[in-house]
Amino acid sequence: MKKSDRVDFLLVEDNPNDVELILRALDTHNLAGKVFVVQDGAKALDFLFAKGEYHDRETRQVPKLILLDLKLPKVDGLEVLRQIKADERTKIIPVVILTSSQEEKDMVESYRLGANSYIFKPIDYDQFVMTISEMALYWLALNKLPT
Amino acid sequence: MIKPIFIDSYYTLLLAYVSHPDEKYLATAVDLGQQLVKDNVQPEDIAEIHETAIKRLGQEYPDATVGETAQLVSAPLMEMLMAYGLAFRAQTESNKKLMTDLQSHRDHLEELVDERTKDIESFSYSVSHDLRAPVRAISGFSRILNEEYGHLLDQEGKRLLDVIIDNTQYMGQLIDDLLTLSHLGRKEIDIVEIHITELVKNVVAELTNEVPEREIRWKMNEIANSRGDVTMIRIVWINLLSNAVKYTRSMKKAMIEAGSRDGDNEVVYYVKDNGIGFDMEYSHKLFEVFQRLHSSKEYSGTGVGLAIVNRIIQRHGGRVWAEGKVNQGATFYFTLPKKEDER
Repeated sequence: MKKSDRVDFLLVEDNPNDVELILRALDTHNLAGKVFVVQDGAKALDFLFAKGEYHDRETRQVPKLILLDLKLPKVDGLEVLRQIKADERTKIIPVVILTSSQEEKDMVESYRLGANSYIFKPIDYDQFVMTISEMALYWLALNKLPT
Repeated sequence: MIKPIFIDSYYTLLLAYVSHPDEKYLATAVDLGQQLVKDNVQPEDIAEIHETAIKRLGQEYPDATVGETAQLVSAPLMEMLMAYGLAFRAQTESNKKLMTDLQSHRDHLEELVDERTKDIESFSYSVSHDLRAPVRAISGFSRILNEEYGHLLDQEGKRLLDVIIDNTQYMGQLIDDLLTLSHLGRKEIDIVEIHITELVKNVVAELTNEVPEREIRWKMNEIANSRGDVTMIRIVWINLLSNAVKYTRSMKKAMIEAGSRDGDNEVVYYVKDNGIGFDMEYSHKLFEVFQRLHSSKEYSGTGVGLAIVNRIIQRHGGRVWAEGKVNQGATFYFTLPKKEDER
């Protein structure tokens, strides 16, 4: 990706099947083109804070929205969330937790750390597509974000 | 308070002992001691019994020598009784210790059971949780296959794909129901006063919306309020009422009734329908997980709904049961305990 490219979504998801399904769901509203996918928590942090393989990224170009899975390799979702919300550069980016976990403690901890939404991935494909696309429309169209 | 009978028998014994201090009375002393222990006389009371008996002896036989002899000869008797007292005290203490040990074993056992239950529940949670990802993938990709490549399949190919899609959907529902069940087992109960008539009305309105083509006669009686966890009690009513809707499907005139009646320490709630009913012989199976009395082909469902009802009511300290007859409807009952001051 080029330095100047603005990313709409940063999708942090390790399951390639889920990635594909999410991209397809976003595609139903032609939103899939502006998604950047990373497979683990460490890469998500590298991307956001322009470290490691993303060291030459322009950090002022923050994604409009972060879709974050909780169960992630290397650095888990809650830790990624904590670091995002602890840093001035990234704390204003809305973070939507997109997870299979219905655990009350995960939900509470996510909100406590400043998550903006907590969405449970439906199993049923129709519901899945509906959930993802409604979520995307809400955050990118209905909801107003600073530019 | 020392029973006078102990003092009387001790006095008689003492008197006999003073007059004929020989071995015979020592044997009686043993009996008396055993009796005292059996009757739960406290060791410290034995001394008091002795004092009282001596005093009475002094009063009834003012002759100084009698008193002195009594003091003298009763010493070994007292000693014996005290020995019983001490043995008794030791026994009491060891009993106490045993009881404490027993209690702590019991507590420990309960802790272990709690721990194991939690283990099992978190195991079933994580299993069903981890199962969701692959099922979601199968569900999603078979749907995509159908939508994007369906036109390349002949009729049989499409039928086979539909079988996959149907089963994936069923498995997804199953997993979600199991998750709900395990979640309900672990969730803390938040007890509040619930206006049941209102709650049931809302649930009925929702269910009616779902089946606009059905003609159902609802008979909603005034239903007693409950104390319970709103979310959970709502799930109970949704399950029972939607079952009633489901199993009256084949009836021309479906009738569903809900109500409550007052019991001694509990309120009995019921949902009654005139649907296909069930064979009472299998009624015990109704509330078990995955037990179904009708094929899933005839009536969809995972067989978890009533198990959820059962779990919730059990956690509220109530009971569930059902009555029915094949083709003559069914009635499902559950109870919720009354508040202490309403009993």
